[in-house]
Amino acid sequence: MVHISDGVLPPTMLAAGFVLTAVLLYSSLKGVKAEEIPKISLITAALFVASLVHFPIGPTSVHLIMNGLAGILLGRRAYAGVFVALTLQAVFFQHGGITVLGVNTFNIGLPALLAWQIFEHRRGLKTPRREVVFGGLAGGLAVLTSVLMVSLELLAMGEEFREISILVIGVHLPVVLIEAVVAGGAAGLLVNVKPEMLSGSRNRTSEVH
Amino acid sequence: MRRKTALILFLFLLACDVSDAHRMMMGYKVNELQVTALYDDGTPAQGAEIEVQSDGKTVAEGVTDENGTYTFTPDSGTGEVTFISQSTGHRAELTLNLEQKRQEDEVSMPWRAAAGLGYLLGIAGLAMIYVSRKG
Repeated sequence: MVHISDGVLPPTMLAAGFVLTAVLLYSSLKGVKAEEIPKISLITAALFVASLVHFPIGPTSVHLIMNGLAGILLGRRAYAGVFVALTLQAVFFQHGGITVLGVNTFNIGLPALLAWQIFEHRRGLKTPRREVVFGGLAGGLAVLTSVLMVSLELLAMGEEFREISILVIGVHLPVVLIEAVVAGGAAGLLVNVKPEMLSGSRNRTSEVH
Repeated sequence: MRRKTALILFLFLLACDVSDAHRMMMGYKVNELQVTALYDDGTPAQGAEIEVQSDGKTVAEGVTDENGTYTFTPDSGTGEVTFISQSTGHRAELTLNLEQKRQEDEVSMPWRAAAGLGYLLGIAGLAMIYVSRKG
């Protein structure tokens, strides 16, 4: 449900989505170096296949999104990763669609940037488990924000979507929990094993020096 | 502890259905089928004998009504059926497949996933070649 299909939203909303996505893509890719591309590709691959992991909840079926984890690992480059992953999903899985690509990238990419910002605040917490705590927080809130954004857009479409919108928020709570656990676990593991994989780690090493 | 959590998570992900993407599809099943016997000028063939065959056996027989129609209710699991209409020396055959179906994709899901990952691998590879040439 986080991916809106072709033919659901009016053209004005689709156009607004493309404009917002173009602006955010520009700021996301500004100053990108060739050295960063393999890492962005790797996380994008994870985003791309995350939607294949789906499970039935109540009357519908939900799938993983992994935008929070992408934000933690890629920082502001996460928006570009989300855009590429959603393009490939639309082309190869007919999941979402090309006309809604702008809106869908905004719905999933903006929370990824939010996750990055949340994760950046981890330095305020003085415990050895701060990566786990803030990683989990970022991973869970990213999914929740995506679901809320989609619900608000569908609500703006008309009264008949209200029940569906509330339903969407309800059934996605398990996804929020799973992704919080995954993102928290991944952040906690990476800070010990490979801290340079986490976004903003370069700033931290420069602080140390 | 962490290993245990990872194992539980892995088992959970295995239990999930990963056979298909999260896309809405539609399926269909034929519960009742109405066939019409008519002549090439459009006149309905009234009272024509209809024989329904499946797997070489006759499963139903009947006669068309005043509009030339005959209604057939297939058993569940009926695959290919052949309708044969006969009336005063005229004969026509119509073969249909009634198997329960859903929208099918030309390329299977693992191949499509592999294709998408192939693109990303290509991008990563090109960037790595560029970096190594530069350095």
